[in-house]
Formats: sequence, C-alpha cells, structure tokens
Amino acid sequence: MSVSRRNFLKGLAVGGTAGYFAMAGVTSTVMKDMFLPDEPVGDDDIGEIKSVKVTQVSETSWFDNPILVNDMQKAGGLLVNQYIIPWTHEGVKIGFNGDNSGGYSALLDIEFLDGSKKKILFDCGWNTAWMDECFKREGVDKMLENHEIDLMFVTHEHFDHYWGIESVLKHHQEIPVAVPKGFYQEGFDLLQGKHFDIAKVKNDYPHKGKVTVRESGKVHHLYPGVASITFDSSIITRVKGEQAMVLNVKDKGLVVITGCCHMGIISLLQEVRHRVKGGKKIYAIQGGLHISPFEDWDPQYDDLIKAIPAYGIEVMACNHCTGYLTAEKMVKAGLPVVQGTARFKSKKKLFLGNGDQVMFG
Amino acid sequence: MNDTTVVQEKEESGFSWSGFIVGLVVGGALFLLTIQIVKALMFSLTAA
Amino acid sequence: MISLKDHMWLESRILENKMQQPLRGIVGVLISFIMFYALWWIFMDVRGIMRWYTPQYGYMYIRWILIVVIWQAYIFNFWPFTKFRETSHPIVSGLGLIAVNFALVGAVIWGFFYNFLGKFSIPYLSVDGLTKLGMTQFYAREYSSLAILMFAAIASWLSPIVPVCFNNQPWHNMKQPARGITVFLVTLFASVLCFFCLMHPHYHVLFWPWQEYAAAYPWWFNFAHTLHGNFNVGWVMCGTVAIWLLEVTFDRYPFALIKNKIVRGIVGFFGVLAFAMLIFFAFNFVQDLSWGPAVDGAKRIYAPDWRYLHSGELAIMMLIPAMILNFYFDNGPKKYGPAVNIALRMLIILVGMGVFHFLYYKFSPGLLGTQAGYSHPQQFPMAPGILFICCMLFHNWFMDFWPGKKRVGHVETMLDENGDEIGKEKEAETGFVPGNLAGAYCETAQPSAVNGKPATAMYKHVE
Repeated sequence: MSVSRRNFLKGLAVGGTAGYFAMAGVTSTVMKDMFLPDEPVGDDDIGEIKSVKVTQVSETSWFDNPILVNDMQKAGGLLVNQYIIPWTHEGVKIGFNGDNSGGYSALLDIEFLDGSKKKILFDCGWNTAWMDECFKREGVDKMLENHEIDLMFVTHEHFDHYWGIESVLKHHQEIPVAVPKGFYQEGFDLLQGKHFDIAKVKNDYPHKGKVTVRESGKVHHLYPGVASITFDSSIITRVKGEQAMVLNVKDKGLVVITGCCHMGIISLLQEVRHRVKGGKKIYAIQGGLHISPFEDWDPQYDDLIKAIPAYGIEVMACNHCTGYLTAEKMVKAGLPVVQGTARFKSKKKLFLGNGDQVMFG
Repeated sequence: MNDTTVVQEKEESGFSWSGFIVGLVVGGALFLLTIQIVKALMFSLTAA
Repeated sequence: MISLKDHMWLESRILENKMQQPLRGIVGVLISFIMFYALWWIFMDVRGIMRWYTPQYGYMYIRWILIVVIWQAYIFNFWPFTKFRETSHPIVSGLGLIAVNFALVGAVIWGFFYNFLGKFSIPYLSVDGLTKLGMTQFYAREYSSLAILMFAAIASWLSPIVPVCFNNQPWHNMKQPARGITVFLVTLFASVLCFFCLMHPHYHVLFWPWQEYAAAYPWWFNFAHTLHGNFNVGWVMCGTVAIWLLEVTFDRYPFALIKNKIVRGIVGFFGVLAFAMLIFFAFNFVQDLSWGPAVDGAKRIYAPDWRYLHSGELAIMMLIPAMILNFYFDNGPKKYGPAVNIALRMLIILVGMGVFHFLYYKFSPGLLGTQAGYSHPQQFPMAPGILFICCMLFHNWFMDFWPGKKRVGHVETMLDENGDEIGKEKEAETGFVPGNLAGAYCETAQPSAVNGKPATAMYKHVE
C-alpha cells in the first residue's frame, strides 16, 4: 500500500470514528427535537353522557397485606401462576370470617344525554361470600336478578377482580361479559364453570351469555360517551392484559375509570390524550392506581405525584391498590383526592372506601 | 522483522486531512444510518 | 525505582498462545461462560439454589465481586498472594483467588456494611437497620442492597482512573502493600464523596416522611425530570464503560498523544467523562427514537429514570463485546495502523453489541430466569452482564486465559522515578507506550535486539 493511501486511510479512520461520535453527541442533544415525532393529538370522538355515579361496592381486595405478600413469596414469588398459589383463607384476624380474601368491584350508574340509563358492573371481586354480602348491601344482587345490569366489565384476570364471578353469574348467567385480550385459558374455564383446588376458586354457574374479548391498540366504543382501551401489560402472578373505561361527561370532560391500572396511570392518561378527542383535559380518575398497594415506595412514585398536576385533573377518586401511603402523599401535595368514610371494613378515610359513592356530572 | 517494523513506524507519521474530512462525513452518516436501523428493529420487537 | 512486575504484575506477563484462532477465542469465551453460568445458577437464578437475583440483592454481590477483583489484581498487584499467583497452576490460582474474592466480598457486606456502618451510622446500609424500623424484610433487603452496590459501582468507575489516566502517579514508585493501601484509600475517599452526592439524596425521598435533615433533595430533578437515583446510576455506568473502552479498545488514544503526564492525566479524566456523557445522551436519544420520549411520572418503559438506567445497561452491552474482542480475539485486525485498527474494532463492537442485545433479550428469560420485556423490574441485564465480565476477569487476571494461553515468564524491566521503562524504545507517534489495563494481549516472540537494546515486543501481538 502506498504511503499516501495509508495516510488517507488513517485520516479516514480517525475522521470516521470522530464523526460517528460527534454526530451521536449532536443529534442526541441540540438536534434531538428534529428527530423525534410530534406528540399525537386524539381525534376519536366517543360521544357524551350526562353523568355517571360510581358506587364502591368493595375496594378491599384483601384484608392483611403481609399475609398476601407471604402467600405469593412462599409459592415462589410474584411470577407464579395465580391459579396455583395456595391463598390463605382462614385464621386471618382482620379478615372476613378469618378469610384474607375480599375483592374489588364498583357499580357504574350511567345517565345518557337522552335520559336513558345503563348500569355496568366493573369487576366482580374475589371471595364469593364477601362479594355476596357486598352485593346485598348495595342491592347489586337484585339488580342482577332483574337484569338491570347491562354489562359485566372485567378489567383484568387478577384474583381480586375476577374470581368472584360466581357471585354475579348465580343471579344472571346470561350477562354479557367483556374481558381484555390476554385472558388465559384458566380465566375462560372459570367462566364456564371450573374448580381450581389449590387457589380455592370455583364457579358453579357456567356463563351462558356473550363474551367479548377487546384488543389493544384502539378505542372501543361501548355506548355513546362510553369507551374502553386495552393495554398489553404483563402483570404479576401470570396475568396479561388490562382494560380501562373512558367516559365523556358533558360540560365536565373525560372520566377515566380503572381496575388496578397496572399499565400505569400516566401511560393510561397519555393513551387517552393521544387517541380520544378532548383527551388533553382529564376531568376525573376513579379506581385503583396500583402505586403502593404493599405500602412500599420508590422515588418513581414521587415523580408521578409531581407529574399529575400537569393533567389538570379535578377529581381523584382513587382507592384500593393506590395505597394509603400514596394517598397521603397526594393529599400533602395538594392533589384533589376524594376522602372516604372508612365503613364496611375499609381501613382509612384517606380515600373512598366500601359503600362510598362519587358522582361525575 | 524488526527492520520492517521500524520502517513502517516512520511512514505512519503522516496524516491526511482530506481523509479526515471524508471520514467525518462518512462517520456522521454511519451514525444516522445506525439510528434508523435501531429504530426499525426496536419497533418490530415487543417492548415494555 | 521499581520493576514493571512490582508496578503492574499483569502488564509484565509474557503470554504464549497455546491454541490457534479461532479455537483459542471460542474456548476462552466458553470457559468464561461456563464459570458465569455455574455461578449464576448457584447464586442468582430464581429457579436455582440461593435465588439471590431479586434483583438488587444478588446484583449487590456481583458489583462487589467486580470491585474486589480490581483491588486484588490492579490496586494491590495480588499482594499478599503474589507468589501464589505466580507459581500456581492456573486452575489452582483461579480457584484460590476467587475464594479470596468471595471471602472479602462477604466480609465487606456482612462485616463492614451490615454490622458496622449500617448499625452505627446509616440504617439503610443494613437490612436489620431497616427491618428494626418496621420495614418488610424483602424491601429492606432491596433498599439496602441498592445503597451498598452503588458504593461498589462508584468505586469501580473511579478506581481504574488512577492506573489508566495517571499511570498510578504519584504513587507509581511505591511498593506493595503501601501503594495498594494508598490508592485504595484515595479511591475510597472519592467514592464516599460521590456516593453522598449521587446516591444519598435518593434516600431522602425513598422514606416517608422525607429525610429532609439527613439527606439533600435530589438536586438533579429539574433537568433530569426524576427524583430517582437511577439518573446517576446511568451515567456512572457509562463512565465505567467509557474508561474501560479507553483501555481495551482505544489503547488510551487519543490521550496517549499527549506527552506531558500531568496534562495527559487531567485531559484524560475529563475526556473520559465527556465520552461517558456522550454515550449516556446517545443511548437516551436512541431509546426516545425507538419507543417515544419518556413521560414525566410514567412507569416501566416510559419512566425517565428507567431510561437513564437502561442507558447504563446498553453501555454494558457495548463493553461485553469489546472485552470479548480484546481478551479472546486479539482485539481484531492488526494489519493496519493503530487508527484504522481502532476504527475497525469499534465497528466490530457496535455490530457485536447489536447481536448481543438481540440474543440477550431473546434468551434471558429461559436461560437466566429473568423476566421478558425490556423494562420489567426483574429484567436487570447489568446483573448477569457484570457477573460475566467478572468471570472474564477471573479467566484473564487469575488464570492467564488457560488453556488458550500460557504464562511463560515476565518482562524484566525497571521503571525510573518518572514511571517510564528504562531502555524501552519509545513509540514514534506517542508520548508513551499505550497501556493495557486488561493485560490481555501481552505476548512475545523471541526477544530480539534493536539498536543494542532488548526489544520487549510487549505490546505487539505475535502468533
């Protein structure tokens, strides 16, 4: 190789390496915005409703935190299939008749612009004895028997949101059921009337109605002013997929209702913003936000509390797996958390508890 | 072999600035290509 | 005056190839991988024996293994086991020094942190310290593990700076253990300062009520958009990788061109820091392009703090191919000049990084018992990544790459009071001979005379 070609190659190599790293430095700093896409603005018009009243049928998914965490850890950790975890059902002092399991369920009373109404049962809890008592307390059992409830909306397959399905089907076996994409076979088997001996969950009333599986990546229009969005999240105890509801209350804005929000409340709000018309203004959120359910902490949750004010939310009816520590910090940060009454085995007034109601609209 | 090594070292003391400029452009372009490839591959894989 | 052997035992090694490429490289990688997998299964895998990968608890041990191996081989020059290292069969030497490493790690974590510092100074440095305050055992262990491992992470970023940038100046003439103790104490002091500024504020917000009097508020929040210490974890990891890349890939260029030692050291230090920031920003940018920008307050893949952490993880995924190339494949093509060789190395490493990244995320759940997906809290590639790096270091620094290479002797060179080798031919284009932290490709043909002086050929690869 001649000297000049060797020198050219040397210059090329030095320049190439320098140029590569220099371009990396420049594009990742001063030129960054040129490469990143613009934030999408939601344009899916879901319509409007007049109002929605949410009754917390039960928000106490379980009664003793350490016992639940211990059940999972003893079985092998957070990744073990929930259907093969031997959950503790007796000897729990603060449980329901010694049983640690409770459940999450809410009742949505929707009034549309034309004055018509619909009721949606949002999740169906866990412990059927507990759910039977809660349903009786709020009159949900009678509503189911009279076919007044139009839809059984299952947010995700978790034990505390879905395993009480027998308490629903015993009153109304044909009720339409909506589940997110990601439901495992065991979930469908339970709907059809299966027993799971290790986890001690069963359903003796096989479902006879329509089951709709909702995919992720789009806004599903359920009724005028009522929509749902599904997320593909992989969740603890071998669960996949979660769906949330979005309702557009006239003159107020969007109300986002979640079961556990495993996908993250910010991710959910962003998705609403990017897909739903008017999504920049979220009027209210209701449901579990899954931040500190086991009362542990991570500075990432402080980031969340600091970020929420930017969404302009006026009512935060969060409860359940949000965690009391989160609620305390949110209240201290001045966020509009709705306080509860701490009745029917709900522990603190920091957020909405069992039997509490909130009206949007 | 050592004689060859000594001769080689003397010749390598040159540096081509034109090569350097070409290299800067090529290197910069290579990085832009890299990020396009990475972006395409990442979107095609399941994230989260 | 001090001999090169007393200064840097590893660099004075004369290693002879016992196998041809590519067999030598493949066997070497396999041996390191087997060591790694055995250790992973015994100690870390969630399906294995000890199941320490939670992930922070196991990661804590791995980080301390790394910094202790750097102390053993680099800071203390194998003192007090230099004779043992020199005379034992590689397998015996490997097993013995690994045992010493593990014993030291145990002493540091259980003795120094859990039962001394965690008891008498800061509770979050011990599990008991936190459980006594009412925390659940699992989280107490995770929180304290994070703090303890960050000491090691910061130390392993700062420790190579002394030999790589400053060539152990101004302590280059000291004998062991005096030099080891001095460099160790200097690095420890710097690490403690860095820990208190970079990680301690994380613990201000971790506990409730906020520990306002005991720790500063995370000062990085306004520009990093997160209170989480992961912001600092990310760039410190990039800093560690930057200094190692300078050594194993760049042969200390371009700082090697600076003749004045002090200027070279200072420019080198800040240069490495600048390079670290560059790769930190670049990896953040690439993530933004791939998945969309991070969102304040979000979690998982959209969390700003996870993105910073992942930049550090990506940096490790760049370091592993760089080390494999240097240790096992003679650092790539050698037939061109240094500049072209280095450029080609970078190209190979970037492609290798892409391949490694793909293979890791595809196979880690089945092979290592981690979780699928990039941002799952139990998908923490730094843990297996750094354990694999430790095994490569064991294979190199404790075992001389047995059986691919054999140590046949040591270069008998003396260093003068400035740290320069007496009688060493100076390379024409640089102020000093490029160093070799890895001590990897030190080999020789028959020593031959040039201009009447013995040519060590130490830094030239010879088949």
